[in-house]
Order: sequence, then structure tokens, then C-alpha cells
Amino acid sequence: VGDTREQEDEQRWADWMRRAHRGDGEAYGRLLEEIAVVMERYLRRRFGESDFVEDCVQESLLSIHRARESWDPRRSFRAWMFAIVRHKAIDLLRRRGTRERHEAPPQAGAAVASPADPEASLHAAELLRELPPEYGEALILTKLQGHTLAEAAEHAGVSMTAMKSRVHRGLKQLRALLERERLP
Amino acid sequence: MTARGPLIDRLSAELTPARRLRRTGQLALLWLAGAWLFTVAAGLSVAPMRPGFAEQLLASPRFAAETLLGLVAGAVAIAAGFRAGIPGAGSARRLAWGSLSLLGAWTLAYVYGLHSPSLEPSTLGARPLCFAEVMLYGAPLLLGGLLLLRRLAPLDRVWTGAIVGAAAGAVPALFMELGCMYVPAHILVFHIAPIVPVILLGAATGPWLLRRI
Repeated sequence: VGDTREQEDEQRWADWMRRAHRGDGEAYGRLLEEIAVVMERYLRRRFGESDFVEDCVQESLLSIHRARESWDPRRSFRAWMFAIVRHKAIDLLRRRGTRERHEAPPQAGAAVASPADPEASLHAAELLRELPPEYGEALILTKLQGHTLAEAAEHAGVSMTAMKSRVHRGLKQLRALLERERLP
Repeated sequence: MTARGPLIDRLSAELTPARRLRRTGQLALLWLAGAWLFTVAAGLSVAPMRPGFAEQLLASPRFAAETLLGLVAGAVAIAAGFRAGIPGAGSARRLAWGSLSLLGAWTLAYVYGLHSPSLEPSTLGARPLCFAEVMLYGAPLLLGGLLLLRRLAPLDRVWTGAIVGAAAGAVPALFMELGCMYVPAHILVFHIAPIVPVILLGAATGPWLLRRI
């Protein structure tokens, strides 16, 4: 049943994209609306509930728009689309959470927001659960919840350098996991 | 309420018909033809080919195999570069590793040649600037490849630039195998080694010249 549905999706999307290549804006709009929902479901399952998901959906839509001429009607639309979504997910995660470079540290006595429970976020994110727990926690705190490295390091009880290393290694492993994943 | 709806409306409204996309194999062949024409023309304008290179190709199967290996390595590298311009084309990474393996095998053939050369080593046909020629011819070939790739959408621009650089360096390096003197140590240092700077140049310029999607 799942395969049949995927084949139907593939045919419908490919047909809309072929029409979009001829300049049919209506077909293109329907395609983008439908795949945005699919992308959102895909990302929520892997990264849990976060602003990141909506940001990534919108960035992916923009990328798909910019890359639309590179889709070859002889190839799978689904494979083309998910390659872009996965790439944008990693790209966006890498660019997020660099607050320590741009913002002044909180002044003494100022209230610092306490990180939400990363355990709960980890539970909701299928892909992050596959990482070693310390890497998953580091990514959730810095990249999904938007805390600074200092705040994340304090929460995890490690040094800033250790936290930076966890984030770096976590991203690397995440990319490998996404690349190894079968086409959804 | 997210901004997704207005974004989709905007993207749909600004849609224009797509230009016809050539197959990546056709692009690779086009590039290879241009690369060889350019390299041979530029190379011959500097110095003639090594006397007797054609007879050597016919007389020594091992030398012919070495030449073929370099030819295939460059062709597979540029095919991988163009394939990398199509998101989700699963074979791009395999082709890229394949081309790097072929380049490695090509290099090893000359390392083996240090002890047992496939031709009698000779300085016949020596070109004084062969090292610089490989890099000087490789740079415009790299630029041409990256410009052809601009219509596509490579996701990893550093990697794609590097693999196009490998192809761009391999073509003049192979030309030197036929146009310059045959001494394995010289080939390794003055013909094969300059491929590395062209690869690095590709990795460095790929993010600038290829479109960010």
C-alpha cells in the first residue's frame, strides 16, 4: 500500500513539475503546497517539534525553486527533492546557533533562560535519538533550542570546548545518518 | 500562521519556463572535447609532441594501458562532476570515488615504473615548462567546467569543484605523457603532482563559482 501511494505521489509530483518546467504556475503552486506538507512531516519525525522545522521547510522550498531546472524528468522527483531537503537540514543546522559569536554575554545578575528539557526533545526526534546521547543533547540545546554554547555547556556540565566539539561531531554524524537513510 | 503560503504564492508567480537541460553525459562529452582541443592547441603552440609517441603507443601495450588509464580517469572525473550537479543522482559519489581510484592507479603505474618502466626512459621531447603547463592549462579547463555546472545544482560545491579540478588537471597531465619526455620520476613530479593544485583550486573556487541553492 505504501509503495503504491509513493508511486502515485511520484507520478503526480513529476507531472506537476513537468508542467512547472513549461511555466505552469498553478501546477507549481500545487506541487509546492503538497511537498511542503510532506517535508514538514519528514522533518518533524526526525528533528522533533521546533522552529527549525518550519525554517527548514521554507529554505527547502526556496532551494527547490532555485534548483528546479536541475530536475531531470527522466529521474525520480522524490530522490531529487529529498536530497535537497536533507542538504538544507544540515546546512541550516550548521548556520544556526552561533550566538556566542554575535551576542554579548549576559550581564551579572541578568536572568538566563533555563534550557527546556532536552531529554523530552530527544524523545520526539527520531533521528537525533540515533546519535550518542551527548551529541543529541548538544544539538538540541544549541541548534534547535537556540541556546549559546556557554548556556549549553553549563546545562550539560562540560566546558565550552567540549560542547563545541560535541556539536561539531554531532553534525558530522547527523549528516552521515541522513545520507545513509533510505528514501522516505 | 506561517509565511509558507505567501512564499509559495510568490514562487509560483515568478515561475518562468525552464531551459532545456542537457544530459550530464552530454555535458561531460562536450567538456572533454573542448578540454582536449584547448590542451592540444595550447600545448602545440608551446612545443611539439614527443617524436615517436604514436609508435610507442602501438609498440608498448603497457604504455598504451597507462595512457588509457589516465584518459578514463579524467573522463570519469568530469562525468562525476556533472552528475554531482543533479541532487539525488545516487551514482555521483560512486563515480567520484571511482575517478579518484583511477587517478590513484594511474599514479601507482608510474611508481611501479620507477623500478620497471614501460618505455625506455629518455629525455627526448623534454618540455622545460611542463609543470607550469599542466597548471596553466588546467585552470581554464576548471573554469569552463564550473561555468557549465552553473546551470545545475551541486549540493556540495567544495567536493564538486575538487572533482572537476581533478578532471581539469588530468587532461593536460595526460597530454604531457605524450608530449613531454618519458621518465617515470619526472612524470610523477612534473605531470601528475600538478594535478593536486588544480584539485585544490577547484575546491576553493567551487563555492564561489557554483550556484548556492
